[in-house]
Formats: sequence, C-alpha cells, structure tokens
Amino acid sequence: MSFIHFAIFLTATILIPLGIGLYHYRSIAADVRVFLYLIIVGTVNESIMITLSWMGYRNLFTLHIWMVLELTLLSLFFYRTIQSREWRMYARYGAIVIISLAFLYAFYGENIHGFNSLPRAVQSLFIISLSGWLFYERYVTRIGSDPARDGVFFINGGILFYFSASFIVFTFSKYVIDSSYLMTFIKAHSFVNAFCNLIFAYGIWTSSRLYSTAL
Amino acid sequence: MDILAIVLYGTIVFNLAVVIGLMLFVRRSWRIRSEEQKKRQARMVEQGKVISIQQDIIDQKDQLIDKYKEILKF
Repeated sequence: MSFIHFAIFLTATILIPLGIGLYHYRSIAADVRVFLYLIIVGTVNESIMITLSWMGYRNLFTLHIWMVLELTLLSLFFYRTIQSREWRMYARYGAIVIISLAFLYAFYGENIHGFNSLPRAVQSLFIISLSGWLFYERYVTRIGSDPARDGVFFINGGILFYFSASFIVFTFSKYVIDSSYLMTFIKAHSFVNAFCNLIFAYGIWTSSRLYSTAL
Repeated sequence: MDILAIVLYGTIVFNLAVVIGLMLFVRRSWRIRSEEQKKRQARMVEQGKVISIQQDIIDQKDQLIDKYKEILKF
C-alpha cells in the first residue's frame, strides 16, 4: 500500500463518526449535533481535497476555507456547551478575530495556495484554551452526571488531543523545505486525525439516547 | 527514523498521555465529589430524622402536660 492510499485510508475514518451520527441523529443531544455538522463539513472538505489532488489541481486553498468553517462550528459547539457568560463571549469574539486574521493572512499576508500556518497555530491555542475550560467548568466545578456517560466528555478530549498533538504540524508545515519532511508531517497528522475520528465516533454514540437506555 | 519524526511522534504520544491523564483525573475527582455529596445528603437525612424524633418528644411532653392539667383540675 503506497503512502497516498494509506493517507486516504486514514482520512476515510471520518466516515465512522459520520455514519454513527447520522444513524443516531434524532436521539443525540443538541450540542453534539453541532459537532456532527462539523463532521459532515469535514467529510465534504476531505472529499473535495482528495478529488482535486486526484485531478491534478492544487488543493491547499481548501485548507483556508476549512479552517474558517471548522473554527466557526467548533466555537459554536463551545458556545453551546460552556455555561460561563465570560467564556461564551470569549468563544464568540475570539472566533471572529481569528477568522478575520485568517482572511487577512490568506488574501494579503501570504499566498492562498500555501499552508495557513499562522492562523492555524492561533486557532489551535484558542481551541485548546476553550477545551480546557470546558473540562474544568463542566466536570470539576459542577457535579452533574457521570463524565464517562457523557458524549461531550469524549468529544472534548478528542478535540484537545487533536489540536495539542497537531500544533507542531499546523505551525511549521509552511516552513518545511524538504518534501520528505512534509510527508512525515502529513503522516503524523493522518494518524492523529484517524485516532480522533474513533474518539469522536465513541463520543457521538455515547451521547445518543440509545446508549443511555441500553445501560 | 529521522529526528523530525521522533519529535513529532513523541509529541503525539506525550499529548495523548496528558489528555488521557486529564480525563482520568477529571473522572476520579467527579467520583470523589459525587460520593461526598451522597454522604452529605445521607447526613442531612439523618439530621432530619433526629429533628423529627425531637419534635415527637416535645409533642408528647405537651400532651402529657395537658393531661396532668386536666387531672389537676379534678
């Protein structure tokens, strides 16, 4: 199996949370539904990227579009799950500022056909802070239901792992000169992405009503 | 394996360990606080029982006093 086939195979793991989410769509919680929309948009984006690459076109501009959509939906997810008024405001206005930065970076700062390293790095730090706060607020300051039976617990853990593990990849992918190093970056990101897709699938399944009634 | 791959995969493994550790810590702290809350609730129920027993004794005492008063009238 060549590297490209292997990368596509790992990328295709996004179909697992997508399938589980669509199957349980009616019974999953409203805040997890927002995350499911992100999975749907992610699947469309990955399909477009693979198709463009297969047809021989440059596909890096889709990373800029994907980042804006991802940040919008993730901040909406955190906006719905976080209770604190201050942090909700932080999620809303932080997303607006970073999206503005991404547009400026894409059209004025750097070439749109290159990697979006700077806004992606800032976005990673922003999402890591929101994810950490959600863990603290939802499970440390309040005594709610068991975290192990809460889908948001696993989804948030997956988000935290994805952005913290891919931080180096996001930050330095633009500045890598050797293509073999870039392949190492892409391979590492594919592994992280595939692992997170499995965590997201488990989180979506846990948040469905079918899981809670099966206990 | 080059140095870049070691750094990247090392970072991934490190982050995975940190996130799993954080999740386990959160779950453990939730369980401890949940048990504490259950104990507190049980203690409050016990206190409620003691208060209701004390109230019964006071009621009985009042009833006895009333009875004695009636007897003393005769």
